[in-house]
Amino acid sequence: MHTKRIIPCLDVKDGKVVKGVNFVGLKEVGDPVELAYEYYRQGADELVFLDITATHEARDTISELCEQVAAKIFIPFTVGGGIRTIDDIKRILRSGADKVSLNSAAIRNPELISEGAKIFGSQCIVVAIDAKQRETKDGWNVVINGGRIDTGIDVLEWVKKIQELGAGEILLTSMDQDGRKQGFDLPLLSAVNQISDIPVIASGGCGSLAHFYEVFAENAADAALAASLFHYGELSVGEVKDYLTYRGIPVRKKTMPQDLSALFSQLDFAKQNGLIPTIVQDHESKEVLMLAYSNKESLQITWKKGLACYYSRSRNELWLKGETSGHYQAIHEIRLDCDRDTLLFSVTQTTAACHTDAYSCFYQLLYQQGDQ
Amino acid sequence: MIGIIDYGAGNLKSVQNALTRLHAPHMLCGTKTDFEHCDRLILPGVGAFADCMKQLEQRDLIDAIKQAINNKVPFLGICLGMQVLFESSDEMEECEGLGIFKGHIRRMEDPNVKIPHIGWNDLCFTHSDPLFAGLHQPYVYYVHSYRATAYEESDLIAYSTYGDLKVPGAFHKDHIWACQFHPEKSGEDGITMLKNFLAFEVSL
Repeated sequence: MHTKRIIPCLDVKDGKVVKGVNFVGLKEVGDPVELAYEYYRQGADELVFLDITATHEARDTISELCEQVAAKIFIPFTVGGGIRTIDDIKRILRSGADKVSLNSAAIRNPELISEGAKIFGSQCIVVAIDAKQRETKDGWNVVINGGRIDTGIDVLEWVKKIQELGAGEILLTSMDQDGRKQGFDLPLLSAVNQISDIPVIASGGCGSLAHFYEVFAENAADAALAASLFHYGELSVGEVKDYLTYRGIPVRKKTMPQDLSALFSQLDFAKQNGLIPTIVQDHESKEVLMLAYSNKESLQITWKKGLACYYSRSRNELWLKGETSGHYQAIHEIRLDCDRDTLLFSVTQTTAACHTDAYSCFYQLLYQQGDQ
Repeated sequence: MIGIIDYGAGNLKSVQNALTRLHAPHMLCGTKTDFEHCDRLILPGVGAFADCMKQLEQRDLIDAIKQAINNKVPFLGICLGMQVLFESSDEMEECEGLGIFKGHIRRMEDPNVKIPHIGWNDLCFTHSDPLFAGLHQPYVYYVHSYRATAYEESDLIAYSTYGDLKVPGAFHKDHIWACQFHPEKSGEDGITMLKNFLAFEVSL
């Protein structure tokens, strides 16, 4: 199964990530290497670094950055911004990047695409296209310099041309949607994707989980790129992947948290005084068995033993389910709800969940439709 | 010492980085004499089949590779480094390969999917293999337009599916492994595969 890719993008200036960063546990906020590693850990499929360093002298910092990133993360990464010559491409690839992204330089000098593809292979030449809808609404033009200059070139014509020249992938940003968080530009992306034989990476406008789903469900792109959504910690890559999996879009499975602190950092303990309501469900039949409460200590035991442990509110103590009754619950999955304050344990129940020996605690019928 | 065969092309850095991460001593092998220092070899590769063979020939490395393989040096070919281990390829022009594995490299054709095949696929195992020790349903990163065909089924250890195409993912014969995907770019699962390759001991 071929999967859809999720690609965080980092804007880098003088070796620092420019956009605000809001991650728990990062050593140095704004350090692109730390941030890249965090995304790697979350299950990012690729990374894009966009160098927005203004001066030419400071460009060596991006090469140093590439070397550090390549030593630490083992997924492909692309570097874009300010790449104008074959020597620039060589320098970036030699320092460990897998791909370069060409934008306005490719417009000014299309041979950069064909030369680059010939020397280094199409697989490492990504052409970034910034697109803006024409005022006549009959299509899109390629714009450069952050949308300030309209080249007058039709996006679809340019897409055909760069494929002939040997581009390996297209990074397509909608300047109409960028920063608006209203969703990817589906008409633009669909139009491009339909005529493209090379992968299309959607960029610009993503503001929610549903937007990731839309762009893939509409078959408008092969990969989706987002920046601030991830930087500000609104969503993690893992959360996006869980959501897409749940809605039937194939993605590479995220790496499971290796330790409890990673799990704890995702939970909202404050809302209910350190307690997290925990719904318990039969892994096979999906029958709801009971509701209990977890706290940090009980989760530590659950994690360590692979058996459900809770906090008993009536006895004010930790309660390893089954310790006295023998009715243990072996953990299959632990899920977290959308606002991070409720857990779902999917378990194999020994004998019965309820102290009355009923399989489920919910054996009492209070209401049934049409049965009054 | 692990030798990374350097024929003047390809991204050697990512393989070097992965070996550094595994604390495995490694060096670049650009000449025949370099091979003498190495007891394990990796042939990475990005680019075109014919160019790669031409470069290996010009650097007088073809015999060195064949000799190392005869001497039971554990060997891993990656991507194009996998493809040149086969008998031939028709990329651009018909070109002979090293012929270590039986089979031919042919362009992938499926009107319903994009070629080149770029991205992550899950990997289905056809045999349990020491390369995959400790791995459960890994995902791996591919970048290629050609694939192995007419190979020995018994050499294939894993494959992926892309559109209607069966993409041979990895081969193993004796002390020789070959991957179409890039283990050095396949996250922690790929690192595990490289670690497994390094752990393999030839029984003489």
